[in-house]
Amino acid sequence: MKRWTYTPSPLLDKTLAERLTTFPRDPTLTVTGLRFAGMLFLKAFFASFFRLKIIGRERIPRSGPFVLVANHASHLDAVALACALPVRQWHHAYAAAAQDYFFRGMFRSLVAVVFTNAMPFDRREDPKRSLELCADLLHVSREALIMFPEGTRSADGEVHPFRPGVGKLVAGTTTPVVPAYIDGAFRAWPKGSAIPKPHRVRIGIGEPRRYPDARPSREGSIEVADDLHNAVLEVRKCVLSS
Amino acid sequence: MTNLFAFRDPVFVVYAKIWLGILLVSGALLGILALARRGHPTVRSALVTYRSWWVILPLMALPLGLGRAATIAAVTLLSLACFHEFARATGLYRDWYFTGAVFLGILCLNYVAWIRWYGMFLVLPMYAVALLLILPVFRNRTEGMIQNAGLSIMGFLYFGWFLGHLSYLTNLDHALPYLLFLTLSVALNDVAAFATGKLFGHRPLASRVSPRKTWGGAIGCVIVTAVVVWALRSMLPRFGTTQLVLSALIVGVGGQLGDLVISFVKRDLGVKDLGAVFPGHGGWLDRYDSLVFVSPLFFHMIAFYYERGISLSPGG
Repeated sequence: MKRWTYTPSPLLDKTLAERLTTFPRDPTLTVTGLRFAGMLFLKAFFASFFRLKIIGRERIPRSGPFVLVANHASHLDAVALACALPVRQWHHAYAAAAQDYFFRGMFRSLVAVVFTNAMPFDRREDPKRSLELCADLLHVSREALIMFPEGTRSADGEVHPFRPGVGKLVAGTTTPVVPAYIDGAFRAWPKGSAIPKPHRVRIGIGEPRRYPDARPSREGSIEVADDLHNAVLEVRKCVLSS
Repeated sequence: MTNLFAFRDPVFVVYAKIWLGILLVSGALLGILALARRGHPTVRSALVTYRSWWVILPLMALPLGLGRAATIAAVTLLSLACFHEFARATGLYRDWYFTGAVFLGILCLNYVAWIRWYGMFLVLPMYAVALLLILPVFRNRTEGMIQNAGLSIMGFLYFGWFLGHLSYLTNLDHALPYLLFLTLSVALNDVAAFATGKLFGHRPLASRVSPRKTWGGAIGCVIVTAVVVWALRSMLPRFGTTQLVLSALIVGVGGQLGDLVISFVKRDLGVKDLGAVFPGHGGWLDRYDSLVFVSPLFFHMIAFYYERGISLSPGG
């Protein structure tokens, strides 16, 4: 007779707070269901309150790993980008979120994990390890990644230079990188503001780029990051002229 | 249990005072112990467990005080949490079809309790089992399906249906005193089981399931619970001596059996605790294991004596 084998969750003895900050996560129906319901609500909220418009949605790859990079000027950005993704990608696209901000306290972590499927990115103590996790996510798990390569929210709404981390992730690979520009989120909910205002938000999606020939050195990474910065500025032009 | 807010109910106030009194007195005793035996591991772990009670208690009291809807909602969430924990411990949570079906069953069961459909409340387990057994057929899968279906059926029946009796209890006359009695007596029974188990007896009760449990401790616990039930008798409407004796047995024996049931589950799985929700206690199931077993027994005891004319139709 075949014996039953039990494989308990590896995070069984962890508290909820610990489970939320552990990555890779152990997906459960509860969190996935909550995310689905939450995203449906947020999609409707963004469509009505911020009159969210997405230009070039068809440029987002339908399957396989990709990196979605965008400017970052507001807390609305990650959710707005998630709204641009097809429903089936909600659970397979991870937003790299600052561990020191979004994973401080259980409530913030819960919101970050449930709504944006955030992965904790340790930008202060161990960014190298976090980049390795991102690389695993892309190249081993073959999931999608949402990144804001400026590293923090822009205080003036302008697109600041990109950090080379994103370049390091994709240099020498065929993983597509999709540049995006989020317009209006800064006015709707800028850094330092307590509550969002009903301002129109538009997202422009650019053509995916690949960097198979880029060198995975520091110089190569900087070149890729600069190229992506320019790509986002190009998308910005298109969005502002549309 | 028709009143929307029971906070002002005299019975609720009395129970709140009892709870607060117990917590304050035990806190003071623990404080003295902590000062006398500073750094002792048992005292330290007792302090952690004690602190968790200040979270657990409002979690139980608030829905009861808010009324029937809140109580049913809280029982639903508790059932879902208990099953979720069981599914995480057994590995069943990886199969979203079965876990989803059990979640659905638990929601339906509590909805049926909300609309007072006693007949459906009693036969819903049949529909749930049928649904869980046809899932592999619809998915056209066989490997591991007996295990997943078996675990799901156990999960639904034990954590959904058993606990669901607390939801249905809200429909009976004098539901609030009964529910308040259950929460207090089961909690005190747990504490008594822990204390008497440490103090009395040598003969193991079920050595492989729970090596520390002894016959002496178990009997001591039933005696303590009987005293508690007797002390609370004036707040148990309609109860005569027979019902009081049965209540003491249900809480005293049933509570310990519920604890042992979860113990054998944990031993078979090879885990110490089923979760880490309440420091010093463990997960939801480590805290509410006794209540799961006691709820249906207590409900049917009341139904047998006082609700024989209960209608099987919706709204009955």
